[in-house]
Amino acid sequence: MVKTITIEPVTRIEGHAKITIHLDEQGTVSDARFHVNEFRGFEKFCEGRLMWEMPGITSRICGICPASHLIASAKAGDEILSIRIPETAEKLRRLMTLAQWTQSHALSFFHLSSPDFLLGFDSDPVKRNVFGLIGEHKEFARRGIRLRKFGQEVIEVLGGRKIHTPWAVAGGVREAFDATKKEHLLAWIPEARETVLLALETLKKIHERYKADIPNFGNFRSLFVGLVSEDGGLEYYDGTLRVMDGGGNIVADKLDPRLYQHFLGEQSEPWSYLKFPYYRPLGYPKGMYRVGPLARVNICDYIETPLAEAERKCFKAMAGDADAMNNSFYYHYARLIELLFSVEKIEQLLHDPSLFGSHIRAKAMINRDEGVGFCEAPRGTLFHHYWVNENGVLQKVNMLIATAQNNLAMNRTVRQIAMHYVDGQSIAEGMLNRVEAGIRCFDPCLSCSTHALGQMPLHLQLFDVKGILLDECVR
Amino acid sequence: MNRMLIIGYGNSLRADDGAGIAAVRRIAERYPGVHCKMVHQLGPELAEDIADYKTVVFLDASVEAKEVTVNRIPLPVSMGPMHTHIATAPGVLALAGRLYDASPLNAYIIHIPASSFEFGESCTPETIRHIEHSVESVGRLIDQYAGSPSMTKHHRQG
Repeated sequence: MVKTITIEPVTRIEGHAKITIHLDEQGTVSDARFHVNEFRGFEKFCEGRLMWEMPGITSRICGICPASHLIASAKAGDEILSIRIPETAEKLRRLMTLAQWTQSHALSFFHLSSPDFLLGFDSDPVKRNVFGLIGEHKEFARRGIRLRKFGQEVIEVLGGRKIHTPWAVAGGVREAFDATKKEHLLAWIPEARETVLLALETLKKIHERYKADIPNFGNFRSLFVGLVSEDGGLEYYDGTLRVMDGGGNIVADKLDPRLYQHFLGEQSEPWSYLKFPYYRPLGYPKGMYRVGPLARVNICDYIETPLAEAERKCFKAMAGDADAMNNSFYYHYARLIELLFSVEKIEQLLHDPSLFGSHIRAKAMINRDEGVGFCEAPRGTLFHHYWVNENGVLQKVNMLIATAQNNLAMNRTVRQIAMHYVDGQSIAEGMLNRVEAGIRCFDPCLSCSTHALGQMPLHLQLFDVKGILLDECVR
Repeated sequence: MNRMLIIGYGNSLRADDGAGIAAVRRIAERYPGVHCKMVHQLGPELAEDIADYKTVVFLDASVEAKEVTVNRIPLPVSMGPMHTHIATAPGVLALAGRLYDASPLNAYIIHIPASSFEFGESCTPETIRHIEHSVESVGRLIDQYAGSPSMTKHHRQG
């Protein structure tokens, strides 16, 4: 009898989703889908607002990565004004972006994913969370919370508050850096660096502990897309797009992110509110690509800070002959490499005298009727595309969010894990948790990607060949 | 150890949901010596902050409350479920105890009646009236705790 298992809601991710697993007559998995069932429609209700308001509005899309929306939105505004912002403003925005990476990556690893690794995929689901982690690994959990707090402190120093700061604007930023806060932030660096190094050491033990599981966690070839600097380095604020295939070959390079619609298409499916972006030259769904830490560390030629660069070389060595790491489980490793880079680079920026300039905003009238802002959000490349009239009133908005760009790959990951672990005879909680953990590798933010409301439970359903619900599990 | 921390939380873009933030903004103006925090949502990071205070007061909007209510939170609080998006005041207090072996001596939660959660940065007139009452309630707690000589002793658990 053909069955479908549904996991709803998916837990420890940002937003609402469910997973359905479809079984064939023999009870083996024939398909699995990651459904995103929340919707907010930011793109629609932003129409009619002033372009100047957009950074403040769109930063409300998400409570986890508001600074990324803020930066992408402000950059779209820069394009519409057709200006180049002052050096100090760019440095400050870069610092904000790195602080965003720090707090978001710390949340992903310490709060959301490490309970699986340190307490076990099959441990009691009631305790398998950050609070269970505190019970068993108090110091590790405390360090993770403080690392996230460090990122939030930087955001608060720059923007006046930890989340939803209206600090970045078209043309630059509103406030200069308060130089009296420099030493306060620098004082965090040794602890932050030590915590990331501890996390890396822990993760390497996790790789050993779960070496039987890891090959089944979204291990497939796909394209990788992300920004790189002019000379191919890891980039987070500007640069051009690079596309790499699963064999490590550069398929396209130095693509102008402003022209993203020329090479990135978006497909819809009736069973999810989350769009399915794809690389146009390969079509849908063959043009599946991954963005975010795994993609960024795969595609870059180097990382500019020493400790992160040393880890990148270890990461690449693990990829073997393919010269690209294709296993989604290693999103965690790439995320920690980026976390290390963020801490190192924040320290560098805090020592950069140009960060403390007073010229922080360029002003101009509306000079273009269209602008694309982009940056690397924690989960991948983020695009804000605005069309305005002569008064700067939004006529149309399109946002291409990182999580959506991983949608095809997340579905493929869920299917692979389900095929390996689900036997169709019974629903074992630990098995379901592995399916969820596959999604957590990508650290999806569904609030962002559907521009939707966000709290995240999980629902799993089992259907027969006629689509009749046979069993379900709700948490 | 500091004497008193006032935490207001809510979404200031959803009308009355921002009542706790609006109240704390007024408290910060009226009592400049009292430490105040305004946050969109409670999170684990707050545990470290509150562990360093003797008295913590939370202010939040409430659809159930008909009048401003001041409720003492019994301490210590045991650990319950907590989420990065939905943390409760007792949850954060429990976390402070677990992570830092420290807890305030006194904790209160003040609920401010709220009715409109539509998009908007202003609270409804009725909620604005309740916000004023909540500020008065906090004023009484400040008189009671922030100036009391008995509050100079540290309190540490475990």
